[in-house]
Amino acid sequence: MIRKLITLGAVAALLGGAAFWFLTVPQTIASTLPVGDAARGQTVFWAGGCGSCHAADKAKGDDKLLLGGGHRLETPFGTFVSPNISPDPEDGIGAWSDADFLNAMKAGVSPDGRHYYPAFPYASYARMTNQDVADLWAFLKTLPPVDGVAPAHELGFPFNVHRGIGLWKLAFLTDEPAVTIADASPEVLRGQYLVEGPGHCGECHTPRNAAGATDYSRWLAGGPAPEGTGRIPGLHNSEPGLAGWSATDIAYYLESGFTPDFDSVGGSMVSVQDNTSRLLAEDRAAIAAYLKALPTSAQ
Amino acid sequence: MKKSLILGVVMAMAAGGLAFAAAHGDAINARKMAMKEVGGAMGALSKMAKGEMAFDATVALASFQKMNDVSKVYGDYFPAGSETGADSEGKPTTAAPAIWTDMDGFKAKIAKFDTDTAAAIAAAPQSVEALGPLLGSVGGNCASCHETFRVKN
Repeated sequence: MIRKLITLGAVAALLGGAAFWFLTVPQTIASTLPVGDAARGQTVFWAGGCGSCHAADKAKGDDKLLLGGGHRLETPFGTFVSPNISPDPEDGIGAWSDADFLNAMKAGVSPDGRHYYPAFPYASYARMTNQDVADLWAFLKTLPPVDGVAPAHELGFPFNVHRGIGLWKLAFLTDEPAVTIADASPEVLRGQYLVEGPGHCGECHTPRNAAGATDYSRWLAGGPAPEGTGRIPGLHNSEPGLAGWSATDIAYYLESGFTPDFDSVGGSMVSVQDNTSRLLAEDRAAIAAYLKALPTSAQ
Repeated sequence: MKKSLILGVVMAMAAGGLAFAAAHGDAINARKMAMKEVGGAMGALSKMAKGEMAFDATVALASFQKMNDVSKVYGDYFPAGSETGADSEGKPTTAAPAIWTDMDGFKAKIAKFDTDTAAAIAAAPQSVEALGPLLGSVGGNCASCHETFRVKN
């Protein structure tokens, strides 16, 4: 009897292990990138805010184009350190293929076939068009190479088990829109794309569940900062949120960093607002139009 | 006799404690009030720059002057012990702990604000075109300091 139980237990463990193994195999995207345009990619770069994590801390001006990594994200799961994504062929990603870049951005899989941690916001980038990914890739290749490899992440068990991220992806990785907006205008749709895709606003402005995934039932509702200290404000068209802000106010904030009562941007949003100040005015207006159009069901 | 002496000491200590707490509440009130004044000045300047308000050289100068006045005293509003607490309306301080762990860095930000506002006063802009770049250099101080030294909970 006991022997039977032990056998059964061993079989179950084997099956469980096998299931875990197969379920968590890093899945890549079997498609190629269209031809990229570096000039258009510059807009994607500022929309995505790559420099806010991959350039030196609080980098300003052109220093934000030096993507040597090393930025530390202090989270409840441990400390993530952003890698070097400059075009340096040794220390950065200069030797990557188009497919490598596409899979990193939209599948969260590295060129050597490992899962990236979702601290790298591919759960948002999965919504990007392949054209935008290609344009961004073309732009990144024009940037200066930077020497040096950033230190490793500092994570405890079980978060240091890469394969576990495969389960996380099965549960949470999707390229579907975060919310449905009825009768959305082209401007609202453009804003939705920017906010939910490359802009990855929801990564901080949406509360996370126990597994660290954004909680779509509370999309852009604000909550405790996922890294560092403080609270991240909600962006709903209600109080507390952006109810008192017109679309023009929101666009002006993204451009200048000033709220309607002339308080200023602060904390980690300073670097983000520096990025949005470099967007086209119509893209800032589109982001504002989307935020004002957020459905009340998400609020 | 001994009892009343002890009572007296206890009361003096309590009063001292209250005064101590009040002083810190005052510091929090003072710095919030100062930032509101800076925000008001920034609002007037921005509205002129955006064309929402007619340009007025006197208002522009007074606004930069208001900011410069604040820059002279602002560093005094962060005494040890005022790291936490609330203003008289019960709103908690948004001062970041970094102010006290990097007081020199914080004071350097205030000094930069002082320099930039003084330069704007010296320039005394007479047109909206002249105001724009000055507003840019002065306004940049807000985010630059709030990036590190303010935290909202």
